[in-house]
Amino acid sequence: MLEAARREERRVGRLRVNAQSPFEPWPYVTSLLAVGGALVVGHLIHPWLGIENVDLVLLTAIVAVAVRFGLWPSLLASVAASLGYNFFFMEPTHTFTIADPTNVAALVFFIVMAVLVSNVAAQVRTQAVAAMGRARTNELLYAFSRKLAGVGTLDDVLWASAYQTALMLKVRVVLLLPENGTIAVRAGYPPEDLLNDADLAAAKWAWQNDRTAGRGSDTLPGAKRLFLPMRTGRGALGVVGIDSDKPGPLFTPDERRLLDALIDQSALAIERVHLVEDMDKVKRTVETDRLRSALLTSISHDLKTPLAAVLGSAGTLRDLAGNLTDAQKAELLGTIIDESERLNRFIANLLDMTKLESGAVTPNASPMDVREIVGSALRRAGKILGRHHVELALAGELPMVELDAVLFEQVVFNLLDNAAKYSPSGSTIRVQAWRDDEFVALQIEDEGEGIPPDQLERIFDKFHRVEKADQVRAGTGLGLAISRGFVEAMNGTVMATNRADRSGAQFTIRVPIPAQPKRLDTAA
Amino acid sequence: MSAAPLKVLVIDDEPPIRKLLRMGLSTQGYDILEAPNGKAALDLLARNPDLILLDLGLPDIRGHELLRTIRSRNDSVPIVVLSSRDDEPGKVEALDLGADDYVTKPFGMEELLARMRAALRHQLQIHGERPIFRLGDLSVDLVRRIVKVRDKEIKLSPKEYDLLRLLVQHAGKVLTHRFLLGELWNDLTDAQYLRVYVRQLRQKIETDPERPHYVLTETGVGYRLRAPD
Repeated sequence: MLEAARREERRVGRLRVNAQSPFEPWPYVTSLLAVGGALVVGHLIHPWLGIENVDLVLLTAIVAVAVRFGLWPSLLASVAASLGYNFFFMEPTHTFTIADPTNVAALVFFIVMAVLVSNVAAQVRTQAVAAMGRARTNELLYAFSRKLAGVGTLDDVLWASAYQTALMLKVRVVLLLPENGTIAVRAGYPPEDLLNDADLAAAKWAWQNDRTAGRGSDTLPGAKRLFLPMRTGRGALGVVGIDSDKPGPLFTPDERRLLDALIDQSALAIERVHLVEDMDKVKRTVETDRLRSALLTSISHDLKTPLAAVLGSAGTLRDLAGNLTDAQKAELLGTIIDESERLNRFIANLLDMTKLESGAVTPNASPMDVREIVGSALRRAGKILGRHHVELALAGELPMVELDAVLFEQVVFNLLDNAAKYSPSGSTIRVQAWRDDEFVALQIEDEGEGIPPDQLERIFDKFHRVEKADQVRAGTGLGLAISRGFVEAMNGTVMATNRADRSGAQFTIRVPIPAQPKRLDTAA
Repeated sequence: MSAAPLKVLVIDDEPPIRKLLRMGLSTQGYDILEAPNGKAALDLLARNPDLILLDLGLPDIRGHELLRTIRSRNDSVPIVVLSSRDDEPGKVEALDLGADDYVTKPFGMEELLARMRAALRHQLQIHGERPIFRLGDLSVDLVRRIVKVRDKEIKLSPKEYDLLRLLVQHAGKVLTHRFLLGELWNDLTDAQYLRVYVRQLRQKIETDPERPHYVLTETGVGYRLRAPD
């Protein structure tokens, strides 16, 4: 990062030298050397080719100088060439006097020619340099906007904007954004947290009036920085503050244009982030509202039903004990225990869901044998599966996979619970595990009615339940959503299908086998 | 149970839970000392309870801290902790700090009593284990190193036998992965090894190794051999 920044700095630095050069002596020295060389060549060809060709040699040197170094060096070359021409080639030679009046005319024409050629060539050069500069500016702007487009968070956008602007214009940059009714520094390059009072006043003025303020402007010119509003079509977003160690005006007109373009790009990027945040917020709000109402419905039913059964049974036992047979008492006690356990599962589900929602699920994965977890899940689900026959078909050889045993056991438990809930008593629930290419697959099949094809995905939504007209299922509508959340947290997948061989739902979990499963030496 | 009733110190801040434990435990002939917080618990420690039931979620002190303090003052009293669901790391930490076992809330009284019995039994047996251990169809002769299932002798590799011996010596008690790895390999080896040996052992002694009846997995914590009835 630092290295890249340094490279960038060097590149931008080079560009600036080209755009606006301070006085440098060597173009002039080179110009004089070029003229000197031309005079030598002229002297050599003069005896054979005549004085006209000497003119051309000198003009060539002047054009070359003009194209390479621009107007002023080429004018110097013109003067030097005309003096040299007079001195070395016009009678009387080796003096600056001119004997023949026709030669005076020739020299005048030469000088006029030289100056004209210098001018034209220098103009061409200026245009070429300007075009190159513009192309470079566009390229930089393009790179800048692309950089910003790839950045996700507001802080990153602000930092990138400040950093790039500072580098490209060789200035110091602070970015201020609205905060609690005023504006405050949110980013800067070099990093800067606080502004002095004059600067803060200028920044606020720029923000409130949506106009430039501070150094070099009409308003509060005493401030250290120049503050420019950042805005898009939808309104003002913040303020950019610029300063530099350079005395005098902060920018050339070119730089000012570049700055405006950079500010526009930054403003667009900031607005983009704002819009994404707003959209997320709206989505979350809608989602939360939906969740809340579903939660209320679910709680009112799933929480109150078992509670009513518990309270009713306990009350009956206390108040009517004298009229109850032992069998009836035992049944009421059984109801209390069963319903309490249901309540406990429901609350556990709510807790799991809350953990998933808040991103608090961090799998603690280690190599696990899926079959062992199936075994412990079956033990936990023993009571729930009491009225079903469970058939196991687990492959004899299965590689270990990276799993959080506690989470995975919960997933298997939920799927078993689901299967028991949606298939008739006495039917078979089949649990199979096998190696499926680079995955270990675990499948739980029931003999229920299956899942309507349009709901195969939606059953994994929170609080979704396959609606049935004649009965309400005693579930939370959370088990499958939790299962999917947990499995995905462990890099696996879970999907629902319907059985091909008969009616019934089929849930398949796939967990990737680690690239290099450890070989275990079990002979030890 | 011996003539003098065993004293159980119940440390829990919830009155309904203390009431439940008082009733449930007294039916089994235990004497109950109740502490609603850590401070009271430490005071009652002076009365030399025979077993401690400790709820890890206390108002005045972190349960694990209290556990550490209790262990520093009494390193032999069996401690069974009451922990919440989904806190496997907390359970493992408690076991590492010297708790003997745990029960997850909400718990059934029967389960709790079984855990307490296992913890007490282990303490009583420290000085002399029964030579032949029987559990259902399984019998393990710890002196002659003979393992039988339905009266048929089973061949175990030395490591498999050591694993079974540890489980038998702590029958009914949960043994953490770390404890088993440390005992069997004298080294904190990868828990994978342990899983492989447990699987092999189950295949030799369980009727249905996929649905083990003897060697139970305590997910996220360790293994437990079912307590003999």
